[in-house]
Amino acid sequence: MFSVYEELFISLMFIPAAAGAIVGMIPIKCSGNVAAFLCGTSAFFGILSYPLYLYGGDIAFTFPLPSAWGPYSILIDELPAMMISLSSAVFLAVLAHMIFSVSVSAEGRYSSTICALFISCMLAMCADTVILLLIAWEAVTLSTFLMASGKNGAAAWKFLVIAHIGGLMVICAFLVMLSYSGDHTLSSWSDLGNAMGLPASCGAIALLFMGFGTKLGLIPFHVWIPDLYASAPTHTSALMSTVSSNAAVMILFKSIFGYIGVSEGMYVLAVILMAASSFTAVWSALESLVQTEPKRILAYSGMENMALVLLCFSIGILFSDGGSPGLMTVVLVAGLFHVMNHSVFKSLMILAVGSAEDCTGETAIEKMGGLAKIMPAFSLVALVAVLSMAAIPPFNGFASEWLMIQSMMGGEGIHMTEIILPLGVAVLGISGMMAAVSYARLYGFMFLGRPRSEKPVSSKVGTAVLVPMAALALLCFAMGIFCSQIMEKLARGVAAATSIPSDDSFVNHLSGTLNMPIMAGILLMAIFAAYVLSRAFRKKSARSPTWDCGTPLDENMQYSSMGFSQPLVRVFHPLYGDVVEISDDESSENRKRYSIKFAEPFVEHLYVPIGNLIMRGARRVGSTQNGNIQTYLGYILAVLVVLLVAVRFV
Amino acid sequence: MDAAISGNLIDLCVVAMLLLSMLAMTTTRIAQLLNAFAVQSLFLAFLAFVIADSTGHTELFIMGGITFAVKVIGIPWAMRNTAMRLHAGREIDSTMGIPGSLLVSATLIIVAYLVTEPLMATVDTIARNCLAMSMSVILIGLFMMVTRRKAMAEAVGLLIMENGLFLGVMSISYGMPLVVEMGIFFDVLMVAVIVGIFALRINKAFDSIDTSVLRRLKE
Amino acid sequence: MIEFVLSAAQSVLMIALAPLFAGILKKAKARMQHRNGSSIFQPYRDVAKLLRKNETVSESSSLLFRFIPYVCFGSMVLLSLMTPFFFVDVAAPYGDLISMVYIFTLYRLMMVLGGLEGGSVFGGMGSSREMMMSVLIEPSLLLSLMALAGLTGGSTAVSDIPRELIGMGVIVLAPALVLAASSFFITLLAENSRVPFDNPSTHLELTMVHEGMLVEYSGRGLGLMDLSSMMRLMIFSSMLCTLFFPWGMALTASPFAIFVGLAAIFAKVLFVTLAIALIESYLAKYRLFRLPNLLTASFALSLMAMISLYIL
Repeated sequence: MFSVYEELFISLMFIPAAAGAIVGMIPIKCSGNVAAFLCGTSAFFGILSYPLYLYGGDIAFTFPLPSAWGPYSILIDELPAMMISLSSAVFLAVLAHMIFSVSVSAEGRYSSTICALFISCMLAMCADTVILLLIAWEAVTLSTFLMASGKNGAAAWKFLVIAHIGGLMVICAFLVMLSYSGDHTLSSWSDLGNAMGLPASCGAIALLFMGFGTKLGLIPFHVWIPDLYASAPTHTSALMSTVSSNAAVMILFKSIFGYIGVSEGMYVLAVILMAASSFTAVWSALESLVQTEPKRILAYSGMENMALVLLCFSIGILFSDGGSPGLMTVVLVAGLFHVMNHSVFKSLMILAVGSAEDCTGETAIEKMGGLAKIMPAFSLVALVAVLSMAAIPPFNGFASEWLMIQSMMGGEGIHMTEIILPLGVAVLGISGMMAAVSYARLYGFMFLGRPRSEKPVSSKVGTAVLVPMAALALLCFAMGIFCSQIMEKLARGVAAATSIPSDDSFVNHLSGTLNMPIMAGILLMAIFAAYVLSRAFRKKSARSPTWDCGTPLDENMQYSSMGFSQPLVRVFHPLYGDVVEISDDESSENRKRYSIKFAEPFVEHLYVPIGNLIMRGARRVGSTQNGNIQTYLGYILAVLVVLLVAVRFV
Repeated sequence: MDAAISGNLIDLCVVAMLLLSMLAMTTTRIAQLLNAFAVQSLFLAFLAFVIADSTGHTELFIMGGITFAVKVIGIPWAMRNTAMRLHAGREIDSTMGIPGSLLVSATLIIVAYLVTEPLMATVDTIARNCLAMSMSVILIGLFMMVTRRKAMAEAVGLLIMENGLFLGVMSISYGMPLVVEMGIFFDVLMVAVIVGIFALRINKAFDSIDTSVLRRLKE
Repeated sequence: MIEFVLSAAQSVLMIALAPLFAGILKKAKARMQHRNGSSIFQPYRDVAKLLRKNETVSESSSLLFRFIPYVCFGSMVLLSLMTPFFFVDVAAPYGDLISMVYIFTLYRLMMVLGGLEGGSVFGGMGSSREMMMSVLIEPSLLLSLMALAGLTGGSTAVSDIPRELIGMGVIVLAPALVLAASSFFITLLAENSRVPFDNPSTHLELTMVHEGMLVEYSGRGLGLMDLSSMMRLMIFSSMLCTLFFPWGMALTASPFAIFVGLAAIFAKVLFVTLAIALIESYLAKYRLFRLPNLLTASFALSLMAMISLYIL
C-alpha cells in the first residue's frame, strides 16, 4: 500500500524539475522564472524525504527505462534521506533568493540547467545501480559547467577538464569494484574489500579519494576553484559548493566505508590520505588570508572545510585499522555532520556576498565597508553565517568541529595512532583559527568600519531576498542547538550504511558532553542580564566621530584588508612565496607603485610543466603531419605491412 | 627509593635533557648555548646517580661523577674561555629561523619515537623509556651541527649528540665498561680542546669562525 | 543540592574576585618597580565608575558595537560557570574543555570585530595583531588540553580531570603534566595580552594590541570590557590551578574540605599572579615578529607533552 505513496513522492520530487528543464528551453520571457519555480516545487517535496523515511522506512523505486546495464533504480535510506532533505532545503533557499533578486534576471537556459543540476544531484545521492550513479555524477559535472560558463569561459573549461580527470578515476574505481562484485545493484555491495584483497581495495579507495577530491578541492586538483567562484554567477557557486559537494561526499562515504569496507592493514594509506587532506586544509586557510575578493575567500574556505571532512574520513580508516568501530562511527558522523553544516552556512554566506556585491557594485573587498550601518538586518544574517563558519558556539559549525576534536582526543589510547592524532588536532586548530581570521576579515571589511568609496551602496537588499537568507540563518542556529539529536540520527545512519557493529549507543564513545540548548540558554541569559543590569544604571549614550588624533579621517584612512592579514603573511612568509613588484607610477614622476603578487606554486610548478610537456609531445606528433598526400600513403603502407606481419606471426 | 618516585625522577630528567636540547636550538648566544649544554650534562649526571641508586649499578656513580667534572664544569669553562678570547663569536648564525628549527626538532622527536617504538619492548631496564628520548637528543644534536654556521656551535652540537649517546647506553644496558667510557670522555675532552685550537686558527686565517668560509679552501 | 550551591557560589566568587587579583597584580608590579602603587581595590572602583558613566560611541559604528561588551561579558560568565575554583564540581557541566576553548574564541572574535567597528586605525591594528597571535595560540592550547585529557584517561569533562589527577597520586607528576602546564602558562600570557606578548598598561600606538581594540569603547562598554578581561585572566589562572595542579581542592562538601580548598586556591592563584607580575617586571615586551618564536616554543612544549605521555 505504501508503494503508491512512494511513487507519488518520487514523481512529485522529479517531474516538476524535469518539466522545468524543458520549460526553460522555450525562448519566451518568463520561462526562466517558471522553470525556477518548478524546480523549487521539486525541492520542496525533496525536503519531505526525511520525514517520509522516518514515517515509512526505506524508499525504493525503479525507473521504467530500458537499459543494457541493469535497471535504473534508486534507494533512499537514512543517510541519503537526510542529505536529500537538507540539500533540497538549501536548493529551495537559493532558488528563492534567485527569483527575488532584482539584479539577476532568471534566464531560461540558466534555470533549466539548475533543474538538471537538481535532478542529477538528487539521483547521485540515492542511486542504487552503478550505471545510474555514474550517469548522474557525470550530469552533475556537465550541468555545473553549463551554469558556470558565463563571463569567464576559461575558468569553466579548467573546471571541466579537471572534473573529468576526477570522473575518470571514479569510473575506474567503480569498474574495478563492479568486476569483483558482479552485481549492478549497489545496495547488495558490502565489504568488497574481502574479495578484492588489500592492494586492490587500497588502490580503489585512493582513486575514489582523488576522484571526488577534484570536486572538493583536494590539492593539487584545486586550481579551478578560486577562478570559477570569482567568475561564476552567485547562485552557481552557492549550489556548486554545497549541494554537489554533498553529493560527492555522500558517494565517497558510501563507497569507501560501505561498498569496499575498510579493514586492517590500511594504516599507510590512511596516513597518506591524512597528510594530503591536512595539507589542503592548512594551505587553503593560508591562501584565503591573502585574497582580495570575497568570493575567492569563500572558495578557499570551502576547500578548507571539505579538507576537514576528508581528514575525518581518513581518520576513520585509521581507526578501523586500530580496531575501534565506536570511534570510527564518531569520526564519520563528525565528517558527515560537517558537510551538512557546511552546506547551510556556506550557501548563506555566498548568497550574502552575492547580495552585497549587487548592492555595492563592487567585487573587491577594499572598496566595501560600512554595510552594517546601512543594512542592519542583512548584516545580522551575514554575521550568523560568519560565526557558524568560524565555529563559534552555539552555531552549527561549532558542533561539528567539536565532534571532530572529540573523536581525535578519544583515539588517544589506540596503538600507533597516538602520535598522529595530536597532529590532526593541531591541523584542525591552526586551520580552523586561520579560517576564523579570514572570516573576521571578510565580515569586518565588508560590513564594519567606514565606507571605502564615495557612494557605498547603489541599492539596498530587499526584504524578499532577505527571507530565504534569514531562513538559512535560522537553520544554522537550529542545527547547532539540536546537534546531539542530529548526531544520533547520523550515527544510526552510519551504522546502517557501513555494517559497523554498533553494540552500544553513540554517546558512550564521547569523552565529554555537550549540551547545546542549555549552554546557549545560559549564554543568552547572561548577555541579556548584563544588558538589563547595565541599562538600569543610566540610559544616555552619545555619538561622536571616531577618534582620529586630530586629523579628520577620509575613506582611505583605515586599516586595509591586506594590512590586516599582513602579520600572518609575514609569519608564514616562506610558504607564500610572494613577489613584490615595483613599477613606475604613470600619473606622476618620482613615484613608485608597489604591489604584492602571490604566486600560485601548483600552477607554476605542476600544471605549467605538464602543459609544456604535452605541447612538446603534440609538436612532435604534429611534425609527422606535413599535409603531403604521399606521406599519408606511406603511413598507410607502413601500417599495412606491420599489420600483415603481425597477423602472420601472432 | 620508592620505585614510582625514582621512575618519575628519571622521566623528569630525561625530558629536561630533551627540553634543553630544544632550548639549545633556540639560543642565539654562545654563552647561553654553553649554559644549556652544561645544564643538560648536569641532568645526565643526576640521571646516572638516580639509576645507580635505584638499581645498584655502582659504577654509574663513577660515570656520573666524571660527567659532572668534565661536561658540567670542564668543557663549558674551556669553551667559554675560547669564546672570550675570540671576541667575535658572541652570536650564532643559523641557516634556519627559530620557529622552523623548533618544528624540525619536534618532527625529529616523532621520527625517533616511531623508530624506537618496536625496540623498546625488547629491552628490560628501568630506564628503557629513555631510548626514544636519547635518539631524539642525538638527532637534534646532529640537526644543530647541520644548521649552525659557527665552529663553536657545531662542537656543542657534537657534545649534545654525545650526551644523547650516553643516555641511550644507560637506558639499554646501564652503561658501558668503564674503560670504554673513560676513552669516550677523553675523546670528548680532546674534541673540546681541538675545537678551541682550531677555532683560534680559523679565526686568525679567515677573520671569522664561520665554517662556511672554509669552502674557500677548495680553490 | 549542596554541591550545586557550592559550585554556583564558587562561580560567583570567581567573578567577584577577578578585579581583586588584577589589583594585586598591579600592586605587586608597582612594588617590584619601587613604586607605591594604587590600592589593590582600585580595579573595583575603576569598573564601578566606568559602569556609571555615559557612553560615547563612534558615528560610524553599527548596532553590533553596542552589543559586543555584553556578549563578551556573557561569554565570560558562561565560562566561569564551567570552571572549577575551590570545589571540584562545576555549576554548568554542559560543555567540556574543547567547548571552553571555543568560547574563548567567541570572546576573541567579538573583540576583533569590535576593533574593526568605527574604522579607526588603532582598532584595525590591534585586531590584526590579535588575530595573528590567536592563530599561533590555538593549536598549542588545544594540544596542552589534549595532553591533560590523555593523562587522565581521555576524559575531557572539566570536573573529571581534578578528581582523576588527585586520585592518581604522586605518579601524576609526570613530565607530560609539567610540559602541558608550562605550555598552558605561555598561552595564558598570550591570551591575556600580558608581557612579553603585549603590554597591558601601554597606550602607545606602536605597541598596543589589546588596548588598541578597546580604543573606541567608553563608559559602560569600556567598564564591561575591562571587567571581562579581568575575568578572563581569572578563569585562565584558575584553569591552570585546578586542572593542572588540583591538589587541595575540595572533593566533598564538608566544611573542612571547603576551607582547605579555599586556602589552597587562594595560595595558588596568588602564586600565579605573582609569577605574572615577576615576568612583567623583568621582561620587556617582545617585538611583534619575535612572538612566533615563543609561541612555537609553546607549541613544541605541548607536542612534547603529548609525546612524553606515550613514551614515558
